[in-house]
Amino acid sequence: MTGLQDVLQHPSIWRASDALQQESCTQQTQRHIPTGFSQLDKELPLHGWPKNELSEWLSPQWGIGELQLLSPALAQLSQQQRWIVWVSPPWQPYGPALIQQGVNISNVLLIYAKSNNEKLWAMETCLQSGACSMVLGWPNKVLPQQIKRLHLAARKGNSWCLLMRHSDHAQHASPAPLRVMARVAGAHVELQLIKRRGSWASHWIQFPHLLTASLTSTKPATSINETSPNVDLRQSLTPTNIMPMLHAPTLRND
Amino acid sequence: MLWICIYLPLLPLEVFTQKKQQGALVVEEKTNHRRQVLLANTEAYDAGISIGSSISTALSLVSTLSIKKKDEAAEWQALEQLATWAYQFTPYITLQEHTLLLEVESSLTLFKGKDALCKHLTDGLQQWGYQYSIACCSTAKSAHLLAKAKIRDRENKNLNKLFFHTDDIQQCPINLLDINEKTKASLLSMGLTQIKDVTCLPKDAINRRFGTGLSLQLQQVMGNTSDIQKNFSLPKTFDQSIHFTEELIHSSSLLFPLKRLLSYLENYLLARQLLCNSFVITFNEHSQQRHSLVMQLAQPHYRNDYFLSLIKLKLENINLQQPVIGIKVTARYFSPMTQQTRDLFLSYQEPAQSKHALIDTLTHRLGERSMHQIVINKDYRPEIAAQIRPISINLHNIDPNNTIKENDAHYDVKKTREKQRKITQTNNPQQDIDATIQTQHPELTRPLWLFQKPQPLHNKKGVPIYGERLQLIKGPERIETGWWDKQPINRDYYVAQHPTGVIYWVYVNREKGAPHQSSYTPKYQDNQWFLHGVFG
Repeated sequence: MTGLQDVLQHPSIWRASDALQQESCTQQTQRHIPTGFSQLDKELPLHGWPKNELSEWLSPQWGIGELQLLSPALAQLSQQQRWIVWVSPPWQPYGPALIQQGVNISNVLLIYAKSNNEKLWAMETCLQSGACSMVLGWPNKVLPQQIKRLHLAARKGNSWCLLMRHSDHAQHASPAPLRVMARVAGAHVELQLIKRRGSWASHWIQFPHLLTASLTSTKPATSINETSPNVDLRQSLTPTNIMPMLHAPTLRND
Repeated sequence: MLWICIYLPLLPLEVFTQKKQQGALVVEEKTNHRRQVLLANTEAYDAGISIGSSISTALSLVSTLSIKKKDEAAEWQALEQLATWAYQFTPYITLQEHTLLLEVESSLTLFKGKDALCKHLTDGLQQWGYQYSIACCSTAKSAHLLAKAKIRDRENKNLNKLFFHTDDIQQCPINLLDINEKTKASLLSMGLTQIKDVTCLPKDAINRRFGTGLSLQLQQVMGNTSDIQKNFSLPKTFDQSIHFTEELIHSSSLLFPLKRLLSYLENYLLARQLLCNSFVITFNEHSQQRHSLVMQLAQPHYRNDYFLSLIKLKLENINLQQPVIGIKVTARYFSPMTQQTRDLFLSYQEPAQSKHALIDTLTHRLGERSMHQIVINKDYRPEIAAQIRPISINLHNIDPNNTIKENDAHYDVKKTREKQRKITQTNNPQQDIDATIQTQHPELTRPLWLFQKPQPLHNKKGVPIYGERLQLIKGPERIETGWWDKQPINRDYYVAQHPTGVIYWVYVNREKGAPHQSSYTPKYQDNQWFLHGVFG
């Protein structure tokens, strides 16, 4: 048995489980973007989002917290003088909120394409050009070979392609090297890496919804009606939270 | 002085053959009311047609012969195209019939000697596909004479070189001189066949017999008298066209002629050291109709392959209604060519394509209205605080004052000016950010997704319903503003959580003049709730 141990000690033997343990490789630090969440960094193969690959984001619906989980990466990428392209986002990404998250919105480019083919074409062109640090795309329908193509384009243009798809597609095979599944559970957003390099699928990683976390009352506040008038207005009355009085007076509890 | 003469003996024929015509072709000329063959291509020559024979003789030899009238306008256009290209060697260019004269003395240092310069020149000339003869001498007229002589007398080994001395002229035949037929005839009848025979005669005697013209010309050839040449200067705007001998039906077949026109445009832009902001391609259709394609560029450029790649994208969307018989490319708006400075220590890989070049590529396929950027305004109204605007194409990197404008009624100057104004207003959203409300009040809760149109919600006893009851978890934040323009709002914004866990941004419309409520808890019994954003 000592023979097997010796073989495994040999430097040219690579095991998939090693990939997660390697940390101080300079090449790798250049190839990733810190997610901003330590529990997620720990699980990702490169300890961060990939920089020049395609990843899939599977979600049962939009607006459950995907942008808040991505915003540290968006903020970091937007500092490069390259575009962050959004191809047919479901709603308008709201500028003031993006600025709050530290995103340089002068590098944000929104593309609204009519047909699905045009969406995919725009994504591929942007990825290939090398003028984009990241491309987020919401195509209606994308085939495995098209995913592969987008992945190659991302490699070529050194940009991160994030393919936003419905979580129904999780059960279908995909050539994407990283697949992230999102779901919302109560006050938490949960992510599972259902496909990643060098390891099996991860467990569900919990993130408190950033907004609810920022509010002092983590317990859900009650609605405003006669039966429960205890809306937590103390929070909104602390000096930092008062809207400027010029046009928008806050309600005061006199 | 070092003059290079490029003599194009077959130019009248070559302006037609460039369009890839097959079969015998002659160019006719009318002298003394007689139509005769001026030049013939190899097919016609092999069939027995000789230069100077009458058209009817030629037709009897080849019944399918195509006859073209000498097209001087086309010849000049070809010469000008060549001159634009030759502008890279010297600014002193003179155009004469079938001839291009370049004075290159001052460019010799730049090109590292006359051998290297001539190598550049001949290599470039090969690409144009014209038959040429080239000669260098110290005066313009001698270079011209020697270039002609090289064509006439190919076997002469004395002439089989590039650089000549003015003494080499002496051997040249007299009929190369630019003199009238009568003088030529009398000189020949006197037994004076070579130039040296004339130059050794006394000047007064020549003047008395043939007038001062001949001796002046000879003086100029030898460089004893000044010979002022008219300089060719580049036109202020670019306007070149190609007419096809046959009709083109497919848009893809237009690419080849377009490529040629665009390479002329590149030469022109390089010669004037300019970049092109926009240009117009006009397709002349068979029925006298014109179809124009305006190419707007986000980034001024000069490379023809770049232009072509954009046109390819645009042509995909164009269906030719009718066959095309000609193409014209016009460019009137330029900006100065500037060297871009790059960061020495780039933190990421150098982009293969610039940001603006990408916008160009996308615009020409998807249309100008599909690209948007977020613009931040100083306003409390959420939908006005950030708006998405179509990206302002063209004039991105251009200082409007630098743009060279040419007055032309055809061109939509007004539109361009408007765009310029727009870009000066909303040039860089980043500039305004420091002054926005968000940076002044970072505590404001704003959703990452905003709906373009607020979505009305049901109201059940003052509580918004979106499928299920929404729980209000933060608020209200009252926004009552905009009374000075036509979109006043009076809203209470709440952060609301859906039972599924999704957090929305909702508001309720407060009615104007609603009775003041004693309790701080507003009751929105009869008010309309709206869904305005998602905290994604």
